[in-house]
Amino acid sequence: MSTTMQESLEHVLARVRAAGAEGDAVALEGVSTTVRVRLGEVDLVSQSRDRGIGVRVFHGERSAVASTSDLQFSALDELVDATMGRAQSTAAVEHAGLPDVALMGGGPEGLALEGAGENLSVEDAIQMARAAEESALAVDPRLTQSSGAEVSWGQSTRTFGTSTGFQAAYTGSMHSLRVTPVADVGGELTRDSWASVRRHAGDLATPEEVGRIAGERTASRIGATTAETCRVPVVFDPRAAGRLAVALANALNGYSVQRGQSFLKDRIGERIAVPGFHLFDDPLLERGLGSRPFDGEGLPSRRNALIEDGVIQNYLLDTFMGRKLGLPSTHAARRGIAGAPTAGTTNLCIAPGSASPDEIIGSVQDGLYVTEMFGFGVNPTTGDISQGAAGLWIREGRISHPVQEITIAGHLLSLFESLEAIGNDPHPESTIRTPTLKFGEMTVGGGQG
Amino acid sequence: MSESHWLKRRHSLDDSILQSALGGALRGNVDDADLFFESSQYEGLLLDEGDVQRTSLSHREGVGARVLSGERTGYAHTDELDPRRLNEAVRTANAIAEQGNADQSVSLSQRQGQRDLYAVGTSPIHVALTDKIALLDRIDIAARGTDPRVKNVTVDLSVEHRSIVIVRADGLVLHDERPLMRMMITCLVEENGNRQTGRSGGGGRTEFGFFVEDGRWERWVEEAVQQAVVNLDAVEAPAGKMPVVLGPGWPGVLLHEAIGHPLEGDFNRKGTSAFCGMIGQRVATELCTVVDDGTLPGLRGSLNIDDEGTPTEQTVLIEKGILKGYLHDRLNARLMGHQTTGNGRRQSFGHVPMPRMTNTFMLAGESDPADILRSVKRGIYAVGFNGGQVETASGRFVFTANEAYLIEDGKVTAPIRGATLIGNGPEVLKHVSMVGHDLALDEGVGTCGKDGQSVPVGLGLPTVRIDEMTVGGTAV
Repeated sequence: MSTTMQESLEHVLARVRAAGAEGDAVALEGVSTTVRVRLGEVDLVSQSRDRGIGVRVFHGERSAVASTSDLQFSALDELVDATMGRAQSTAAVEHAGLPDVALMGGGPEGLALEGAGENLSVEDAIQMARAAEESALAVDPRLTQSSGAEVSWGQSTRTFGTSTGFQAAYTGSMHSLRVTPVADVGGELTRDSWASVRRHAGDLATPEEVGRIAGERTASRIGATTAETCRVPVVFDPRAAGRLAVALANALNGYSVQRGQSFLKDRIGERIAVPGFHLFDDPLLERGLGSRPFDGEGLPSRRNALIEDGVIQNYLLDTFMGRKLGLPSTHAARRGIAGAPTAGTTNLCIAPGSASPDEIIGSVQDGLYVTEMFGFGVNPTTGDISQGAAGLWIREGRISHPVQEITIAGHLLSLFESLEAIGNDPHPESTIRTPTLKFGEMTVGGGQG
Repeated sequence: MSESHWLKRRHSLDDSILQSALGGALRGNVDDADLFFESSQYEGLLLDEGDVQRTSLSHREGVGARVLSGERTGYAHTDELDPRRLNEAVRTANAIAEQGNADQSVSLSQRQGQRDLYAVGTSPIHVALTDKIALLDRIDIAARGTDPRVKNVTVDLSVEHRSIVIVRADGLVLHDERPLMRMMITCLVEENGNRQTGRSGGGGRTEFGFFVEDGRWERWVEEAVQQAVVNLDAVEAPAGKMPVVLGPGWPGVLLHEAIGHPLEGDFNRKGTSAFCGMIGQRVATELCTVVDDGTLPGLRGSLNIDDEGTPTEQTVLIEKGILKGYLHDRLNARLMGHQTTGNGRRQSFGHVPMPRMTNTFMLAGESDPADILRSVKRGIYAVGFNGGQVETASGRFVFTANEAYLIEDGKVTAPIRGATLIGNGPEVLKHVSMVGHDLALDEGVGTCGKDGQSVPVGLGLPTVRIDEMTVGGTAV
């Protein structure tokens, strides 16, 4: 009795129309496989199949959303009817409603989100994972343990439609390879990991390379000590810099701004960072991990400048929050099956600069190179940041020794005003594409002093 | 068995189909297997700007089939509950086992639970939406009336109900009906352009009336407003090593990160925990006894049975400073030659079980909390935290306070902002010099993440003094 996702979607939208309401719906169907190998032996083989459909109805300015994994027509009818009832119990909210259908569009072709004919077998994946783990453990004899090497792959299809007649769909695939070697030196354990994550299997880094980087990162952290409490220049590697970009993007999310839970509220047009600093969200990157042809409300994707030359350009907005703030949607609606749309990022990017990471490290006399951040220490309302960190100490332009059990603290505004260098090395294998960043001064808290 | 009727009634999955699927899972060289059926309903409400603007309802059901052979796990899940997809999942999961034998035949026997830690007359999912909206509206009005500086109030309410059926390798069929709800109130205050937020809330596996009993929501409103107002005057946190006093309740997140995670059996079996091989060793002062207890009625972290069908229990992790035991699921217990402790949990049928905490806390000591504060010459007093994180291999953990104060000459003085505490699991409790008599469990808002899986947990702590911890502020 298997119905297609498109049939389910059309059934739901017809029921919404028949009830005299408007609405939109999103259907997702995906399969994925994960294989994990640890110390050469197979640890886990896991396969999933997931399907579901979510609907949003508008009864005038009252709305509600609901979702189900049960796609029998009778269950879908119950879903729509219950959602209509719930909408009528909910407060009317000015500005609620679908986007103008004239603005909707399936977006550009050519994003190449789906690899063609890439049917990785479980056996192939086990071999890849083994090769990556072997390569990691071969880097240093002190790497004797492992949390495993994991290969995952899968694809999913998203179908979107509105009761007003718009419909579009796209399919994306995802492949990843991650290795986590562990060093054991006299019972003192050190762990780090590295991953390659790509839309297309053919774009993945080789298992040997992923393993080598994971091994080198872990080995470089062996014997880490804490640091003295001090104020010094701080360099963030691309992965760690991503946490700062996300903190800025969260503060520029229309929903945070409207609730007053943003230190960047009411600051469009203000300079908050040095010239040369550009933050943007780009859903149109070919083969990008966060790329998509249209947003969660059927509006065609586009690149959004958030900060240009240090000056705030715009917020991230969906239709509702845009109307509320008197601005057009930036086509940034993010949406899963279960909840109402909200605003969010796709591929969040900091435009690369010209300095190589080695040049940036070379410019530091005495400072910290952060390779990992821990914890939940960013306050979006105030912009205060206080996080656990680990990394390498820099002395006279060279990596000196590993450090851990330290904290870094400051304020995002003073931090980005003191941005001294932007690397040429944005992280391509993430939905957060940030390069190495160097800041003039942060407080480093450590066990000494 | 009435509880399994949803499988039969809605999906025609009767006992003969379950028995044959189990037989297929046990085919070949298999040490253990299970089928985990789940039907879940989730409801979310969000009040913002004075109105409940958003509500959502979601329903999801499916089955996860698991086969264990040696150290190997085969897992497959599907949300299409029909015999064809079930058998396909079983075959996929079983592919990791060495083949040979024919299907096993194990007859099923139903078992009624011995206890119900969360018996409810009406599961909160079935309370009318209008009643939920009415409560959130009252909370909004009360919060705005508490202080003229309150500029916005958001209230997040989530309610769920899960119906679980577990078919185990020995043929036992176990059922559990799990209600759960959680409310979080966030207040934004503003004064002269200075904006701060404060949060409080609670919940549990209980009836909807819990929120209004004993003045609970009124107290949460006061706490949220007070936390925000206090932070208006917060000064820079100090940085460096100093004495730290943790308040009762939620600051138990320290134990969750520093002790609980590194004692999970999987890390210890794999040799990737900072506590490997330390059972029987002193890891804390003798004032410290830490337990994980999934048997406390109505708590967010409590379960009648874990997600492998094992009854939960109280497990002693540290007794008077000595490391006692691990938290186990069936796989890790079997491979380490231990007994499972009823800590095999999973986020949903789509996830492989792992050793996870339930409610983790330190038993009460004998000190008067006021004496503990008076004993500190210069340090910090932390009563509220956002959350924490641990790297289990090195044992390094971190958590960030959202409500903390300086202690100067034994007195609690200025509020501080952005204080992150960092430390090392096997070391931190060796610096505990006083434990209060005021053990409190958190009020039911905690969610623990591990390997991409989230599960609800509880935390608890009496007031404790830690003589030395690294505080990461901005003031040097």
